Amino acid sequence: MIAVLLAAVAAGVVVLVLGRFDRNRALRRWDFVLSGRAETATAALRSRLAEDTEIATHTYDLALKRKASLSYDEAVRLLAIAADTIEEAAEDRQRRLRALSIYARMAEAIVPVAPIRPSQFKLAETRSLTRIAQWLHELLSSYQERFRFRLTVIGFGIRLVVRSMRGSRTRASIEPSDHEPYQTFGDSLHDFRALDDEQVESFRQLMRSAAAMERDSLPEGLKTLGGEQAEADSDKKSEK
Amino acid sequence: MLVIHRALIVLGVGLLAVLVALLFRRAKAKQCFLFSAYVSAATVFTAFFVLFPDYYSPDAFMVKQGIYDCLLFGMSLELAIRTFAAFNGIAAFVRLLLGAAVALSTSLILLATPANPDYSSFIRFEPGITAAGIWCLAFVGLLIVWYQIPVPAFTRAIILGYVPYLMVFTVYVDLITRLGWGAIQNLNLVNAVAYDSVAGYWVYAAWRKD
Repeated sequence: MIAVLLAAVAAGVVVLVLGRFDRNRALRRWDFVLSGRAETATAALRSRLAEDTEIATHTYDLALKRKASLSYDEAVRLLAIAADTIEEAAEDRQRRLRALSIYARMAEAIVPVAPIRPSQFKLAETRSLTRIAQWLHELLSSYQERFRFRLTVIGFGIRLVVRSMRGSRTRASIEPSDHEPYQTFGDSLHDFRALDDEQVESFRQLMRSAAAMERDSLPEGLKTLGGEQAEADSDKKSEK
Repeated sequence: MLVIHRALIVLGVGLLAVLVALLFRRAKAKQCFLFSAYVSAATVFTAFFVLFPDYYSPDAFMVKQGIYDCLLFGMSLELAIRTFAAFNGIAAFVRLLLGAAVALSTSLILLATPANPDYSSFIRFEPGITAAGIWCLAFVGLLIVWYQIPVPAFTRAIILGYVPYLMVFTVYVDLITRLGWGAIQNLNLVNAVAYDSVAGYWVYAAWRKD
């Protein structure tokens, strides 16, 4: 009976997991990893992440102005819009972090990454999280593990920031004249931006790691991936 | 042997023969030599026993099953080596994991198999051996997905076809133990349908261009 159960579990898992595996998607991922477009891709990611936070920051600034002019209802409404923008952006960030984690598995090796600096954060919870993470970072043995742990910390940090924003929005709606919710909201926004910077830095390090991958050792199908960069590499080799 | 069972076996031989032809015609045999060896062996054995049923003795069955089981474990290792050897960063971890899986399954097989395995004790030890083989293949499949290795479609089809069939085979052998040899004819039919289905799937996968 045990053998039947073990066989059934293995078959179920394989059919579910391998059955849904899309080879073309994996090839596209490898193409991206091997393309060597590190700088352009990093710059594109940075500006894309900045778009969301700029909208939220602008709305937050407007909310502060309305509060200063004693239009509390309007201030709370604007704060809610800013919070919604960040919540949507947070989902996007989490998706991107999951993708980065997949890419990290594909890289042959990861360049050393520094732990996230706690001093750049304003919220007590994100500071505490990164302080503990800084300590745990040293306990992990491989760069690969440290990189993935870094991504986990960023993801957890985003959740904490979103929770803090929700809390300050609720408090502001209860007591619109109080300064504290607006201050906490501003701090959360600051921390969200800092976490975005850390995400961009992780992405940049991953691109650097991918660029260092030894192409010659890869299987035939992957050697030719990577477009211009691959061609440039082969040209250099033929010149030599 | 029921007529329908015999028809299913003949169909299976036909599908396996087409598969062997396609493996070489489409140059897919090199994706896993031991799988090609297994399909060739299965074609030869099954065709031989269909043509000469008098030779299908318990001893012949044990030899055939022993060869299939060896090829199953070899197939897992070959697929793992072919898939992961090129990826220096993960090869060491994969070697460790598969090494552990093979060591564990070998120990289980040694524990489950009697000193002198024969046809009468076959139904007691075979499910354990097959389950261990399934897990070795499953590990390879799961590691392919985890590391996003773009394996050729036929390599994926080998695992995706063989693992579910082996599960059916494990249940088939287990049911013989539970229901007794009286139910063998119906169980044989179910097993033959499952085998023909997987052979058909492999033929389709081999026929398609990667």
